[in-house]
Amino acid sequence: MANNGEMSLSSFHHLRDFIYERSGLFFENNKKYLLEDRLRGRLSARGFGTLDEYVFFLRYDPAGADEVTLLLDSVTTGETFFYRDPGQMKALEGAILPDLLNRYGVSRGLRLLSAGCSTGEEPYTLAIMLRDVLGSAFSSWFVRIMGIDISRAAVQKAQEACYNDYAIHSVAPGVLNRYFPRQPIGYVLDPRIKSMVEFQVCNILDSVRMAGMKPLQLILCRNVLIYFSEEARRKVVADFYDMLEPGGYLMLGFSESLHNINRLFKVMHFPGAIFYKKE
Amino acid sequence: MLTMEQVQSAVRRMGDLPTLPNTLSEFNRVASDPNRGVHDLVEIITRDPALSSKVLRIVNSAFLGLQEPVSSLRFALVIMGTRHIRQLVTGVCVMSMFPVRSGRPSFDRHRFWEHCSGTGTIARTLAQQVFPNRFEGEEFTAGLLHDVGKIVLDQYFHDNFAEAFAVSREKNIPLVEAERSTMGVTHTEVGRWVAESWNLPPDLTEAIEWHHQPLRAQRNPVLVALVHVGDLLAKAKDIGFSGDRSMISLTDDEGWKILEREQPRIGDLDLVRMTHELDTDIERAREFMKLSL
Repeated sequence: MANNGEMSLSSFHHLRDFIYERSGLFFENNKKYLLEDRLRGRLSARGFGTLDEYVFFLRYDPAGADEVTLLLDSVTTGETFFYRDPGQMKALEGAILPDLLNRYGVSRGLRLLSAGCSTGEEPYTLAIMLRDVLGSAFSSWFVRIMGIDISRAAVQKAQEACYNDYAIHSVAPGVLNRYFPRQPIGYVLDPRIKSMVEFQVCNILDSVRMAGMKPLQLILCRNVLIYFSEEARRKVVADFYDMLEPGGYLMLGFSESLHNINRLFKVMHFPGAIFYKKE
Repeated sequence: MLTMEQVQSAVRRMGDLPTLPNTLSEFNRVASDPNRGVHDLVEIITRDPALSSKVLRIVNSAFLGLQEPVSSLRFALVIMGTRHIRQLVTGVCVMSMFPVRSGRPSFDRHRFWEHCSGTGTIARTLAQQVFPNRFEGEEFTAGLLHDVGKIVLDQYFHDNFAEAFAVSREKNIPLVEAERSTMGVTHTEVGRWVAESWNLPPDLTEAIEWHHQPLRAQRNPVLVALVHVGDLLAKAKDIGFSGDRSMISLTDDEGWKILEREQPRIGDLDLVRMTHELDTDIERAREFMKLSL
């Protein structure tokens, strides 16, 4: 890297391709600045002077595997929050949920999974969306939302459902007023929403436990699979495919691709988002 | 309800369609004459200083991404070839015939041309990746001009078109359907008439007429399919018009299938990666627009 911290386009492409191979996370050219920014931090944390040294370490040093995780951590926008990624939120509200509600309008039952739910913001966001979209019809529907995470601490926090300013910073004021009464300890989620989500401590690699959650109409697994090996990703995605009913949807992180992992899912486009559908 | 005859006579009454600048018709005439050469073409373009400076700026811009700067039109013609320059000149001329005037709520021309430039650049990227060396700019021009019927309708039948547009958004139906039910004629039919009036090449005219139904194309279905898919992806990337907001599956799309039949390796394309890489095309499209309008 040059002294001003910029890397050449070809170095960027090399690193970008390496990351893509390892994690399925893709950085287009206009995200070069982001990678540069985070790399500066990693180079300095590891005590490397040049980008080449760092990349060599990443690729060939046994300790490099841990570093890949740390690098991924630093390039995916840190913590979770409600309504994260506006493009994906619009796709859920504008296309995916309406389609599911339409198709299941007779049986009136939906089962959704947030895989890697962390402290609960994602599954609770789904719950709020569904409640709002259904309106008064909500009481005649059976909606089950599951949130799973490998971290016991995260699941505990999710069950408490009490959030800070950062967690709610993308919530529309109307929604905030309706479902997040402010109390001294923080924003306490409305119990009607809280009761829509069931949390479990679970490793998504546990095929047996995962199979127990069938059938599902929607799975969200955003910026989780990037930390897995290619082999593990294949296994998990194959499980996801199996868990979904035909016509069900899978949504990963915005920049994640299944291309080298699974060709069974159909790629769907919506303005600002890409997701997958089981035929 | 209107018929094409009524549209045509109404347009004539209103002073007729704007004509393509003489420069362009001359250029086309000379370009097809085997006895004339680069020198003659350069002379024609330089008669219109505004046009020639635009063309040169575009040639040197990020839009084309050439390695070395091009200092003269003559050099541009030699390096890029007549066909390519002809496409650029056509695009720039048509865009300049319909001045941008934002502020009319139903149809924002700036966003309109942004969508069209986006469609053109995406069609060009797809063509380069999937059919290298087969097209020389026609795919870009076809993409740029595919919706020319809309802008004519907006100019001459503003209220009718605004109504069709509103119906399309409220009912979430394709614009062509809304146009049929409210106006009787569609922007694709009007577009074809306009292209014919301007003596645009028949392949281009076909792309304008059938970009929503590429299966109906007979002369050059691959070109029409490129424009069709470019249009879909431009909407998916939200370039310009917000258009209709529904999810699409490229692999199920009839235009995509035409491309796949022609080049089976398209089935191997990493669609997610390709979609993200289109960000570069968005920037190119904006660059082109800035320099042309």
